[in-house]
Amino acid sequence: MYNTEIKTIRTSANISNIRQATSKQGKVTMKKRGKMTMKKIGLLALSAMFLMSGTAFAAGKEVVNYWSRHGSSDVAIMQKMVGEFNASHPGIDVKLQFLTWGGAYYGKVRSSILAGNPPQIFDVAAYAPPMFRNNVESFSAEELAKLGINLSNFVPSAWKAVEYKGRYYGTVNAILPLGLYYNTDMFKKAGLDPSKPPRNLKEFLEYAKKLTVDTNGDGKIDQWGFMLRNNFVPTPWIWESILVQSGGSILNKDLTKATFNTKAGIDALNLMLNFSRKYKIAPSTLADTTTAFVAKKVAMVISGPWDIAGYKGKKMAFGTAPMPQFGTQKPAAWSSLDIYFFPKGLRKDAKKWKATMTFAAWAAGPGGGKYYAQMFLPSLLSVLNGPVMKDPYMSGFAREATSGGIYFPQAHKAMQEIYAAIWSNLQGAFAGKMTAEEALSLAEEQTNRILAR
Amino acid sequence: MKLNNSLRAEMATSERRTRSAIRWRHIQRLILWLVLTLISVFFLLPVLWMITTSFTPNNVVLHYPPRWIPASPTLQNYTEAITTTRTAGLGRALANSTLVAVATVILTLLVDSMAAYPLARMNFKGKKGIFILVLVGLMVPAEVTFVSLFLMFNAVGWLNSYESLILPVAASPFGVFLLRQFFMAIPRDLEDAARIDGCSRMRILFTIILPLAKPGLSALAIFTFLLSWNNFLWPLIVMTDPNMMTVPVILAYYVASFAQSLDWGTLMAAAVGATILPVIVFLIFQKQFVRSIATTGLKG
Amino acid sequence: MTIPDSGENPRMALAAAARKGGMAWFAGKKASPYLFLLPFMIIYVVLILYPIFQGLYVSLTDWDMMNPVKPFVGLKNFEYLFFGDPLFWNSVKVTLQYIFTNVPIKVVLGLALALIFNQKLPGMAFHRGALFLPFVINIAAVGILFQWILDPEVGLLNYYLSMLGLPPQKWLVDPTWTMDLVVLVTIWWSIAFNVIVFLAGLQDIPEELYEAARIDGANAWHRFWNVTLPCLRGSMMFVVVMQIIGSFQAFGNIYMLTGGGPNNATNVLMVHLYKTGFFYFQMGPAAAIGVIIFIIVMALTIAVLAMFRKQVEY
Repeated sequence: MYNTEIKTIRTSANISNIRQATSKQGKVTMKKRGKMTMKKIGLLALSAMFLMSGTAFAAGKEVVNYWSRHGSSDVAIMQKMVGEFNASHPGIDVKLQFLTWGGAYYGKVRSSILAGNPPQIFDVAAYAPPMFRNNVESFSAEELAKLGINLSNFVPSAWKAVEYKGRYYGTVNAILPLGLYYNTDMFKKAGLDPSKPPRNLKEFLEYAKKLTVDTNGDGKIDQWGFMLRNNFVPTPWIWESILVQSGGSILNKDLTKATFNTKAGIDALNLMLNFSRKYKIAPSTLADTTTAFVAKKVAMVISGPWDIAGYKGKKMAFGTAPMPQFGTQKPAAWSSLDIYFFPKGLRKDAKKWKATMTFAAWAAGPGGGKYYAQMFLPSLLSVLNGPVMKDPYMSGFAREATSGGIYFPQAHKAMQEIYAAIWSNLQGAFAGKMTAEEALSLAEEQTNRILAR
Repeated sequence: MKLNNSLRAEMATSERRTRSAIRWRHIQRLILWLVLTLISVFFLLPVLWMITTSFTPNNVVLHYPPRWIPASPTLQNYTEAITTTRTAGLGRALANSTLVAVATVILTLLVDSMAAYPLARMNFKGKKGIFILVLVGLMVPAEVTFVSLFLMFNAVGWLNSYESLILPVAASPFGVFLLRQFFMAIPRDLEDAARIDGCSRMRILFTIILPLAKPGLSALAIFTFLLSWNNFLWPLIVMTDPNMMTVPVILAYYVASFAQSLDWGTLMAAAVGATILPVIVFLIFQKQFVRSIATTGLKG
Repeated sequence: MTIPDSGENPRMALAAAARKGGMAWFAGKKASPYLFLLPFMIIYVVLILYPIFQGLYVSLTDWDMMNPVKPFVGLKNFEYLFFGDPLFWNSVKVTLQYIFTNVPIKVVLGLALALIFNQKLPGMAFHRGALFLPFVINIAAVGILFQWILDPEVGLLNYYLSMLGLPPQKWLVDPTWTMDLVVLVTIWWSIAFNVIVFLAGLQDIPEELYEAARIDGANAWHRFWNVTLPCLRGSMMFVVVMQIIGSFQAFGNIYMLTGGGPNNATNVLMVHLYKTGFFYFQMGPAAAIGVIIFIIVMALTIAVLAMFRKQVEY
């Protein structure tokens, strides 16, 4: 319509090409043979690609698709876990796939439920159960016991997260609390005792100050005492932890209103801002703490146990400890869970259901616990109190979990969206675009709007 | 004599002027060429860095200063990207993308040329109205229909299928528009002769019109191929099973997974792998591609 | 603006006469044009036109995916967007910001590059190839590549900045600059499109017009202003319209770089639609955003077309 002029000029130019082409027809047939082989090669390549994709599956095996949201150094361990299960259960083939992608994961799972082809197992975090309650299978305690999952063998508070009106929606394999990582070499160099990590704000600031140094004397600091991560995981949860330590919470008991825009919330955020602004123990930019910790640019970071395997792989000298108490009242560290959900209707396919539950029970028991112990805290008490307590890296997290120093976040079907709203406003505060008060009142308003829907 | 002198002087100045003009033009061209080179560097360097990183082992990928030529080049990253079991491997995604793109191209050419033919060559009731309807389609951003398309495909159980990627693109108003232009430019005499010989319209389209409109068809084919290959949002929405995902969607999942474990080499290998086919297609058919955009074209 | 037909010629006239003579086979094929159009029209109507109206309908209902009953709620979803949605107005603001930086820069820069690439200089084929290469790269790959280059900790760019003695930048982490970076990357990725269209336009300008201008003593600037620009009005209109539509559609280039963040600084309407619909499954509000984008794009396109048509008699 608008640019026909250009086109008509171009196409009339093309006519001469067409005429030439028709006169060259003899040559074209000559070339045809070459083209045919090209086509064949193309087809071969295509079929080879399908083969490479590993869709060829062994006959007679019951395939159990298992989607995971995880995706850092824990990937390799989870793959090993599934590998061992498959090797010891010849009739079952568990296919583990990682759909790591921030907020997109839960949307993808919901779409797949809608599309009618959900995986047989998908894992979710502690705040997610209400999102899926209508779409997943549930169990009574007796049913679970029959499957080999005896609830008295597990950390009781963990299973509370999936309990609703007396039934259990899904199985709980592990606990993922936030805790403190610290570089033991840097501790020693700064004259600090690696066996005595900081337990409260005063100690933390004191330590961090000593650990913030200009190692090469060029006037710029190249080793920071502390650093906050530029990511949804776990920076808003660190803030929430401090809020809870001071007696606050994100939502009220009925989950109908935001309750974080209080003195406790503002103080918590201001403290995090002041790590850089006032105390000068952290850089002004949020950064990737994992990279920085490996690159020895930072002495202490707060994260979940999922980073342990990665740091071990990089031959780091580090220790872990419960998250220090920054708030005013009690120790508290935000903690997620590793929950398996099974889409509704799976029970109807008896064979598939049996295969799925065989794996789920194995993963929750000592078989899976062995692997969970390397990346998270297994919810199985015998493993948690046994090998995990003795593991020098895991013990920091285990001590925290067994001493009541952790809490599970409030669960609401829009919790993911609420966290996203909080996080985006925290980003504004960290970038210096707004004050802590402004950020939290905006976040409060947005949260209340989400809840009002 | 006097006249001769002034003439000579004039000639000398004009010669000087042309000479300085030529020199000035040389300098201009040199500056222009330098600017051009800088522009090319701006466009090429990131691509080069992508390729370099893809051959750098993951354990030295964070090396400082950056190495433009990897110290110990490796194909490991490519193997990892193609065979990874974290999500569906890139191999599977490449196969999906190829299948979808080829099917889309074939269907688009067929459907669009059949629609363009009567619009270019026949007189019938409602022709103008239909043509305007097609033109309106050129202005509709497909994205605004994704919510309802998703719900529609869900209702008929077609989420997570190849059809859901192929069909919505096949009826391309742009394609009809482009082919109509080409068809109209083909002289009528050949067709009329065939008609007098009693050929059916369908045969005329396939044996006379289409062979003559090859440049138009190939332009549309390449354009459709690239559009399908690089389609991002719709497959992201509609594909729910990792084994059905196309290259861009799988890449999006790779970023989340491999960037967290700092395996930038693997990520860049995946990016290169995703890019090779369109680049080859582009290099072979550069002319047609440029023409397809020059004639009309749709892209952000 | 009429489209010239392929011109008269004697044989065609003959054939036309034969047609008028009432050839029996032709009379029987009255239905054939509609048969030819049928496959296209079915797909077009069902998968392109109908969804627009279906989207409008969804935007007026409380569409819960899990609930078979979809109650009609009137304009409630729009009311929610305007007064209840925490992020809608931010998305509008950010989208306008994207359009007002992206469109003018890409149009002006595209024209400038086309003027340079229209010169006959050594190695031009190579330079054109360099310019066009990013255009065929997958947007997901582009996103990954620039996340890598712009990484504040380990990225290439900060390394070279520090070599020049400049402080490291936060790049995509700092909401102040994120949008500008997104635009920069978008230029890198897709400026070739505008350059190609302008190049085609430039090559269609008859050389005689420049000759005439030269004889009239016009300098390069005057020639550009009085010959090149007016002759490019068709291309210009096309590029501007396409850029505006494209900017509203923009998703991959933004989502893959920033995911809409930080601090929602790049959460354009399209990203907001995606998140509302496919993260949080709020189909009614998501469809309403679609309707709003559709209306804005249509209005803007018609306005641009009208403006250009008024300015230059077509």
